[in-house]
Amino acid sequence: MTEDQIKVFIDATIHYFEQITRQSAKIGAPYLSTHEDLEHYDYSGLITIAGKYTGCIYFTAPRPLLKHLLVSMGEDNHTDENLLDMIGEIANTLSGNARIHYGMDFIISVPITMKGRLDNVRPPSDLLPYVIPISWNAYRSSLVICIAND
Amino acid sequence: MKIMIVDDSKIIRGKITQIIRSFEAEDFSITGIAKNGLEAIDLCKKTMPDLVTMDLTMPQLDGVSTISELVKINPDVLILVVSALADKATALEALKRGAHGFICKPFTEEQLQDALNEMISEGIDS
Repeated sequence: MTEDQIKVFIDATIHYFEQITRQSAKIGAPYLSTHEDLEHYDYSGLITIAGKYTGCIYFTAPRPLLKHLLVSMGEDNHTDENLLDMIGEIANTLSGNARIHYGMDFIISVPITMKGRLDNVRPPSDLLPYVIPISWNAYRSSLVICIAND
Repeated sequence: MKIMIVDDSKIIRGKITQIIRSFEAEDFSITGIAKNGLEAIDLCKKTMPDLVTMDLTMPQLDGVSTISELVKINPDVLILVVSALADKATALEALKRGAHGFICKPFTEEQLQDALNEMISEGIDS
């Protein structure tokens, strides 16, 4: 992935937190990881990519961050169902916004959401994932991008 | 004005509902809430909404295909796309199929209200 391609996701993430919470998120330096070393928080939302690109994108976040976002969305019910819905919607939004750069051949799936580790998810093994660390309101989360041109 | 909300996210459906209910000047009534395109088609036949907010990335039937079906049922229905898909080609395709407006997620309350107001005034003028 190029610097410009990663920047698209950084911009989408900054925009997301500003729009939803009116508070900026701080983005750490993106780094190349391995599948074994990836960080997982309490909940994850995964989008698979097809079309001219293949791979996946996922957003993983701790429960308190998602509860805070739910409050920002006017939702007081913090059940697992709503926390999973929230993380899926974030993954969908960040991936969908990336089409401003990648175009409509960057086909995104509906979100797959999970509580706990993403043990059942097998990203393309020949691709190393990029991790974008995110800090917002003292909470840490990550956006993981594992995509390639087909 | 009868409104139908179509989105696969319960949180977004709730947010849009809350914003529409906060419109004080308009006589809005939410007559249907659907979580995919198939449900939207079914509800459209039953309730004949005047205005629809439409997500695009949904299970079972995507929003772009759903727009075509809703326009077949009611050619006068006003459709506002509310989607994360930010590329111009997708917006143009939705407009070609019969949508009247497009706003990108994540949206603020003001942005959704402005988009709805703009579409309603254009719909009334046409």
